[in-house]
Amino acid sequence: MNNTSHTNHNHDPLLPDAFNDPLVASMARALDTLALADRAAARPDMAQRIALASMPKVHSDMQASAQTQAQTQAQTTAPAPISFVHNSYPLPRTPLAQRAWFALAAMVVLVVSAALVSITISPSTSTTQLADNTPNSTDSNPTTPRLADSTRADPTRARENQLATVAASPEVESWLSVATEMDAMWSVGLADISASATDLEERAQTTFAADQWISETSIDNDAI
Amino acid sequence: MVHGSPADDHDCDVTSLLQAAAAGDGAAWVEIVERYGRRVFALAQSRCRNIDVAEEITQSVFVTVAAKVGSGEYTEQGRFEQWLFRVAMNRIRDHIRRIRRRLDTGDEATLNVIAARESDASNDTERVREITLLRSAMDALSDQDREIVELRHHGGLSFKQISDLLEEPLGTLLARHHRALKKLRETIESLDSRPEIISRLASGFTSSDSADNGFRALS
Repeated sequence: MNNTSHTNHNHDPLLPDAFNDPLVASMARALDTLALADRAAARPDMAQRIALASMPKVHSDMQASAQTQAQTQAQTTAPAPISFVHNSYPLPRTPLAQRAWFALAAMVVLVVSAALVSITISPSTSTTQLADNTPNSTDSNPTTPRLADSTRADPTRARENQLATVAASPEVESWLSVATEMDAMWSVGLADISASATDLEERAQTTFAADQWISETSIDNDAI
Repeated sequence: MVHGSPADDHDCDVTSLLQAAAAGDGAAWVEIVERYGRRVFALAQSRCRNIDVAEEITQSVFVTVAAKVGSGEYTEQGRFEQWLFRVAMNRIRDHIRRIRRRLDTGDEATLNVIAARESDASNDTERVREITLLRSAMDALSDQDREIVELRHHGGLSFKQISDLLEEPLGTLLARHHRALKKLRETIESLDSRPEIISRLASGFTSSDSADNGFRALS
C-alpha cells in the first residue's frame, strides 16, 4: 500500500470485499494524492487566522448578569422623565448642560438682585439701626448726632445722606467722572450741531435770495 | 496514515475541546480549527480551485460553527465531523450554484479565463498535467457522486460518517463510491491513452513540497 494514502481503503472494515478491486483501489490512491495536494495548498497561517476570526463568543450567565447590571446602572443615572399628573404629555426634555446653564444664569440674576437690593436698602438700614439706639447710649456719647430723629423729621436730609453714602464709594465716583466726561462731550456735540444748523440756515437764505433775483430777471426778460 | 476514522478517544477529545471552546478557551478553538481546517479547505479547494475562495469558505464554515457552539445551539453527540462537513458542503453548494448561475447567464469572460487556465495547465510539467487530468475526470462526475468522492478523500470522513451526513444507506453509498471511481478511471483512460497513467496517478507525489508546487501551479 502506498504511504501517501490517508483513507486506508484496503483495511477499512466498512468496505465490502468486492470493493478491494486493485484497479479501483489505485484510483482511490490517486484521489488521496490529489487531496493531499489540496490540503498542502492551504497557506501556513490559515488555521491561526481563521481561528482568530471565528473565535466563539461566550454567552455565559455572568455576561448576562453584567449586561443587566449595566442596563440598571444606565437607567439609574438617566434623569427621571418629567410628567404631570393631569397631563399625559411629558414636557420636552432639555439637555443636562442646558439646564445647568439655566441654573447658573438664575443664580447670577439672584445674586445681582440681592446686591442691588442691599445697596438700596443699606442706608435706611443704617439709619434704622441708629434709630434703634437707646437714649442711654446716645447720652453716653454726647457727640453722636441723633440722625434717626433728624432723618425722620426731614426726608430731604435723609435723601442727601443716602446720596452722600452712595457717593462715598469709589465705584460711584468713577461712574460720576465718566458721566461728567460724557456730559462734556454732549455739550461740545450740541454746540457743533447748533453751529452747523446756523450755517445751513444762512446758506439757505443766500440761495433763496439768488433764486429770487434769477426769477425776477427772467420775468423781466420775458416781459422784454 | 494522515487521517483515519475517528476513534472513541478522538471523539472524547473533540467533545472536551468543544466544551472548552464554548466556555471561551481560545486555545481549544485554535486546536479545533487546526485539526479540521485543512480538511475543510481541501474540500472547498477541490471544487472551487481557488485558494482565496476556498479559504473564504473555510472561514465562513468555522464562523458558523463557532456561533452555534458559542451560543449553545450545538450539543455534541459524537457527530461533530458530520455536522462540520455538512455546513461545509452547504457552503460549497451555495458557491457552486452562484458560479453556475453566472456561467449560465453567458459570462464569456469567465469561460475564457477557465479555458485559458486549462490551456496553461496542459503546458505545465507532467505531474501538473496528470493532476489536471484527474480534476477533469472529476468534473465529469455527477454532483452527488463527486460529493461522495470529495467527502471521502478530501474531507477524510469514513463511509459511516458520510452515510450520516448525506442520510443515505451505507450500502448505497459504497456502491455509488465504487461506481464513481470506476467512472473516473474510464474517463482518465479515455483522455490519456497511456497504459501506465493510472499507476502514475496512484503513485502520488514524492514529497509534500512537490504536491504543494504542483497544486499552486494550477491555482
